[in-house]
Amino acid sequence: MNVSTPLLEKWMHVLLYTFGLLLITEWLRPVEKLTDTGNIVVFVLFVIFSLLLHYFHFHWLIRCTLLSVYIMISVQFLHSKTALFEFSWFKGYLLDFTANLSNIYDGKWELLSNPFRTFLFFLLLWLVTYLIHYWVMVKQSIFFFFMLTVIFISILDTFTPYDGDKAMIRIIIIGFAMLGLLALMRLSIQEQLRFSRAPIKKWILILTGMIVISVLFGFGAPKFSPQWPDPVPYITSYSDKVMKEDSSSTDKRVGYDEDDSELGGSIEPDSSIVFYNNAPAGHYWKVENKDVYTGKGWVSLEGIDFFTFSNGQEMTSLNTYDIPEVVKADEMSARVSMMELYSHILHPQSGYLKKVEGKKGKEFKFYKDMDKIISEKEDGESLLLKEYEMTYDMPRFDMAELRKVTEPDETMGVLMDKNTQLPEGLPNRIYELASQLTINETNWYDKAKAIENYFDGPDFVYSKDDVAYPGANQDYVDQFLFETQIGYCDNYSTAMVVLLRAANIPARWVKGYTEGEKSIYKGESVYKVTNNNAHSWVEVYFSGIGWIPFEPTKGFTGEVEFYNSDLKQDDIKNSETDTPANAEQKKMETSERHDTPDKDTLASRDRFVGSQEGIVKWTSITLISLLMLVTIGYFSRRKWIPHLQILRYKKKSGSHFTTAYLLLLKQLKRAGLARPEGQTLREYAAYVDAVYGTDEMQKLTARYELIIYRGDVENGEWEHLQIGWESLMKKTSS
Amino acid sequence: MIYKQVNQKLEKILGNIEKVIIGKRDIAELSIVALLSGGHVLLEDVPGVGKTVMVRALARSIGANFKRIQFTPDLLPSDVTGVSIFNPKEQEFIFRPGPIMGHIILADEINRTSPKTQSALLEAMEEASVTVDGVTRGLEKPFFVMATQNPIEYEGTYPLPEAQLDRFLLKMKMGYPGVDEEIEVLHRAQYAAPLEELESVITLEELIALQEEAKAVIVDDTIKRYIVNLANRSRTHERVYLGVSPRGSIALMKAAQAYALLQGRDYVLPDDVQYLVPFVFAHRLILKPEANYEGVDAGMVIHEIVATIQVPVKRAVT
Repeated sequence: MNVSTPLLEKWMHVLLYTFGLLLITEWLRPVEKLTDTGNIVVFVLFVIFSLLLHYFHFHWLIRCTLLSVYIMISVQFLHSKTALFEFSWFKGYLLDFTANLSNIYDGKWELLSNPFRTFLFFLLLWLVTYLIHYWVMVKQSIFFFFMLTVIFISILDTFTPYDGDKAMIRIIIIGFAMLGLLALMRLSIQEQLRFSRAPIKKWILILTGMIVISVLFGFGAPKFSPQWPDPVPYITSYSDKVMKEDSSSTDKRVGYDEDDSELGGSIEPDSSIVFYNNAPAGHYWKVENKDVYTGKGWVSLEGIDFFTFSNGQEMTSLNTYDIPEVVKADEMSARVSMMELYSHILHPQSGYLKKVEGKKGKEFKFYKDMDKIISEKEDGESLLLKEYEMTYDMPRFDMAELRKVTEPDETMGVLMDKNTQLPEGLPNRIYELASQLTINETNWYDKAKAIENYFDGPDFVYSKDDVAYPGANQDYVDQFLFETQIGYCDNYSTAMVVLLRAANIPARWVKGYTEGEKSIYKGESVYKVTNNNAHSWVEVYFSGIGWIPFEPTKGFTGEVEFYNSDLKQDDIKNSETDTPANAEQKKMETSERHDTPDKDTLASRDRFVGSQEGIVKWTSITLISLLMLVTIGYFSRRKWIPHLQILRYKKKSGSHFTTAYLLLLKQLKRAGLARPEGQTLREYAAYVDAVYGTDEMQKLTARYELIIYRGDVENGEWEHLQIGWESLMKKTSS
Repeated sequence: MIYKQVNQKLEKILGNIEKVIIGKRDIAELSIVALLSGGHVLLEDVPGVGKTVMVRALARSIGANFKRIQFTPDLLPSDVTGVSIFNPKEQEFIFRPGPIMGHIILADEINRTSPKTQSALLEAMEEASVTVDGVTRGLEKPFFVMATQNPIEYEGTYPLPEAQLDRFLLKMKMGYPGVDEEIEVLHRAQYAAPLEELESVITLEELIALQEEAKAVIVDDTIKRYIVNLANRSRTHERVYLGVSPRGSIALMKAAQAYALLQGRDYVLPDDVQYLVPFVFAHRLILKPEANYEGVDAGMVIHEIVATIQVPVKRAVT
């Protein structure tokens, strides 16, 4: 007695969908146990509903609508207190939805709201049910999903409290049953078998037997004890270690840190505000400098050499204020409002400070060697000033004068000793590089510029991430110069100081802040300086002029203005010594400072970079979407090309049966029914008809043979054959 | 079936033959193909599988004169062609025609006779005439030879040289019948001697007309090119020592025409060509010795050639 194939298939499909549902629930069980997802029944019902819609072959539009309604009702049921038919929740939900979309776009996953998470979870389930349908009905192969489920459960079992023992047995039973049934289904489709009841019974009996035996065997058989130690403690201990390292030194926050004895490692951005200032032009703010390079970082010799000045005292009366005649200066004053309190006083440029006056300020200690000012109470305890005003000179340096310095003069003995210090055992190649960079220059200024420009080269990359620590026996600068060449300000500034010192030019390492961004504070236009603006740079000593700042860090322009009193005479020389890019940059810098003294160059550059990034982002998104569309279009061409061709040939008049037939051959090839080279059309047509269960291909082929092998002229057959051709084309695309 | 068409007259012959030979429709068809295209058939088979019955059935069906020559080592050329005997009464030589002077000839165990006698037969087949005592006598039309070779006896035989095999249009094997077919054979042997009851279904004139019709079957240029490609490939195939000659290509085309006619078509399909290639080409190929050692035979080589040569699916000239 024969079971009709449709009936058999129906039962088979019901079974397969049920097993698919069971497999999905195996994914949902741990979700309920391990996360705070509740009401899992709602999701299981959704899966059942979605699979049912697939089973009854609902049109995809109806399917989408019904499932969307289900999702909406569920989200409302789970997250809203208002009644279902008061649609006010709907509006709220729409707002929530758009807000969450922008959160996703910004990558702020932690800000997603619960209803939106539920919605996303529904979408995921929808996708999975579609995939189950696809694997079961179209591919007739579930192995991939089965394997994924096994892996998922074993990972959960290993790394979480979820106990996967029973789940694994269930999965094996379900998976094996599905594999067996799908194998039978594939066989019946490929071989066009019509089963009678007995073989199916046999198949199912054998399948059941095999599953029972393999499960019992797997369950009852003696098992090896684990072949390697439980990985979990190892992994967790390792990750703890990493976390600890993280918190101690690996990932440092950007910000002002007194201890620079061990430099290196990545730094995390920190946009907390340190201070506001209302300086008329943005400039760097200095805290202190450090002199002794240890091979790993910087330390300062505790200064003994200090003098004291009182709140609001004119410093020009002291001998600390020494601005040589060759340096031009503009007097400025600024109020500094601290958001993070320190005892040190931020000041613009060493030696040019004229007056510091804090509201509650008492006394200041000026450590000359460190160029550091500490605010103190009368009893010598440090005082944290919240706000202070200062008057200072902003210098401009004459390059012509700077270029006159070619060697240390006799007065600089101590200063030279201190500021050309280098650790013993500094790798030789640093000295070699220093001499190689400066060999063509005669004066210190050009030598310093040559070293500064060296870091503009393409080999050096500015990054706060992925910055290495030097190895135990490795020099920090050596590692940066010759191995990593990735780093932030500390790497660049330290490297420049070391190279300068290696070239016997006195230099020191300066810490402080860059100018910050323009902002409004208490109704006033100010510069906002955050921890992200913490910076380090370089100062070089020029006899008769003083300490001159340099900026080696890639992407930073520096603050100091140079001019050239010999410009006219030195025009040619200038262009020789400066690279064109550098000259350009300097020119821009100079003009900006002249024209708009308060213009925030950094901010404007950021805006420019920002808008460029926007363009790049959107262009790449567009390109990627286009690429994806093209790729999808290409790989799904079997689906859409026939419909296009059918439309095309509907409109065409005249005889074009031959071309249509050849198109059909191409389409059949795309549909996976390629004709072997040596196969005749007749054999091929019989094969195609067998696959699609028609006789259209043979009819078309019989006519086509007459045209090409008999030489018949095409005459009016298109009208008769068009329907068959169209039906075949459609069949190949389904 | 969409393709099922037949040539009514030829189908009658086939039906007639099937009355006496069971389950050998393919051999009957191929024999008719050879007969229609004016070629001859070499049957390589053991005795007793129905060769004679088939040829006689064919001869009776077309009302033709059937002759059988049993080749033996002592058979002379004149025993085949005929001999002039002096008639003392008339005082002249009269020609007594040999068995070759018939329409349908069964040349049994052709490899048992001497090359001299073999060549007399082969010449007659090729020229459709015999020359005795300086007089050339044309043979009657249609003229169709079915020669048989016994493949298992080699003692005292004179195997046909490969070059001579070229003169046969088709070479085939009859093979044993299937179990059910053989039971049917026994059944018929018990109750009827059907061969004697066969009536001719077409006349010789009609057959000759059919031969003309076969010649007129359309062979498109694409098909000709396909045939030539197949022949060409047989000449360049790495296992083949000597490939198919142009005579082989012609044979394939003629056979394909006849086969198309048999299928009720007036044009040749690549299918016809593919079907006939093994029968037309196999005995014309000489394989390299190493191919024989490796157990590769001509059939395999031809199968490979057919599978790799592109079947034309577009018009050669548009």
